[in-house]
Amino acid sequence: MIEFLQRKKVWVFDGAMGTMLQKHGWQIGECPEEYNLTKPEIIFEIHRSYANAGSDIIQSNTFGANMLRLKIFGLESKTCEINKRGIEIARKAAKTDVIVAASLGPLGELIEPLGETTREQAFDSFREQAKGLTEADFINIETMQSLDEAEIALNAVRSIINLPISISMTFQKNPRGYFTMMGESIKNVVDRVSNWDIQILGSNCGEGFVQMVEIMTEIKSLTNLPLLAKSNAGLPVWENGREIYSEDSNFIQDKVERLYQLGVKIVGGCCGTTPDHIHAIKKIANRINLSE
Amino acid sequence: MKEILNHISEIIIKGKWKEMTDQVNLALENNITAKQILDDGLLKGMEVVGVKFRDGEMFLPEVLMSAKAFKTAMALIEPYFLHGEKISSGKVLMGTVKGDIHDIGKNLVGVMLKGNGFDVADLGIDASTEKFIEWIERENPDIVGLSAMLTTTMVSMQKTVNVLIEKYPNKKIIIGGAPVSPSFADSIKANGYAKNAIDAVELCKKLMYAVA
Repeated sequence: MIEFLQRKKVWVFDGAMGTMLQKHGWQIGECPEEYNLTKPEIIFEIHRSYANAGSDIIQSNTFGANMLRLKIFGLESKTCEINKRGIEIARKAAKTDVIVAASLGPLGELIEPLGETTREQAFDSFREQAKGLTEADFINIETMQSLDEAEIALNAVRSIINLPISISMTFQKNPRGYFTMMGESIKNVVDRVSNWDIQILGSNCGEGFVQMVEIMTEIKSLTNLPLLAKSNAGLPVWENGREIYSEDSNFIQDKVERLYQLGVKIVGGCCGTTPDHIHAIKKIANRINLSE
Repeated sequence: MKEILNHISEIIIKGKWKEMTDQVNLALENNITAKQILDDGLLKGMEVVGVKFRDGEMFLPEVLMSAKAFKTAMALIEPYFLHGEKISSGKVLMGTVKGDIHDIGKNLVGVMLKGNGFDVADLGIDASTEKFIEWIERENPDIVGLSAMLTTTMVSMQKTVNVLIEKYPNKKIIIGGAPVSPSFADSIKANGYAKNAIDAVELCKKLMYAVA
């Protein structure tokens, strides 16, 4: 078990970065991670709003800051710097006792033989990103759909960093159960990662908190790894010219309670969640942490 | 003859693209026509792929391998079609909207459309309204498909669709992508929405029927 995880029974992660950035004026076509260099005050403010709402862990604005993705914005030469600054901003915004997780998301490209990207390019892209993440408390490899890609990311991070690592997969429901886009079942995922050097297994994004409870129920029945759940606030719907996420801080309460009861160690939010959601999760976590 | 064609279907369904060249050559040696290979081998196989994908029995990686097998076969039989024999189901132009760099879903739709006899032109990612117009002028498609993966780029989709339906009232404008919904499609007055690659094929067939 990771040292820091032993300090509390249950933990509260933070909520969305992307949908919060929109509220702070992020425009289509801008690289969200470039804000670490150009508008660090906005990133700081979002982190701080989560810390104030009760997040025990906040996550850096580095989700898409791998070399291949930054290349699309002509920023590949700044890969390390963007990630490094991302961790620094999160650290500055973190209060005492708040843990800093480094977010590392998918490449956004298919790896050979399915796509053009070679395994070496994928590895190098993640490795370059990892160079900037060394000062985090743990690395969260998240929103993964492909176990091959997750493994490459893990190896790339491990080639540089000796910190706890979580791998967090994204599942959708189909007529036969929960699968990633690449067709990995929950059982497949658990079977394969059980041989990997990871310390936390998680699921994030997805269709909403109800589905997240189902996903975690299945994962919990298959593994003893500490678990992390960061759910979307439902799927967005379009109303009066803007997107609305239907699951508010009231809706999620009993689902969050259920997640903690199942034994999920860390609960937070993904797309569409706000400090309100985190505040609601914190209340439940506080109750559990104070009870004996 | 039937056996060879069934085998070709099977190669498509299993995505064993490396076996395709031998089998297609065998078919041609046995005087099976390009049209028969396409209709009774390749398209039949792709139809099964579509159903299995919809039902969650096949996933993106397997479908991409089937597509590769399809492409391998098409390259071989293309020269053997008689003039006017290969009838296109219609022409679809597709692209990911401005600000969005995601194309996995769009590419999958392209694969399934090709596998159902459509001609597909793909203008890529992060495409401005001007780029869509430029390609429409050049390619003259029957249907234009717009893709968005991010909720944030649904705004771009709306803007581009607004311009296209105004400028091209005779073309069918359809949309798809993770955050897109039927109600969103209605609200921006698109001609159609499909929630996955299989539905996209059905939608395009329906729209072509309406056009014809």
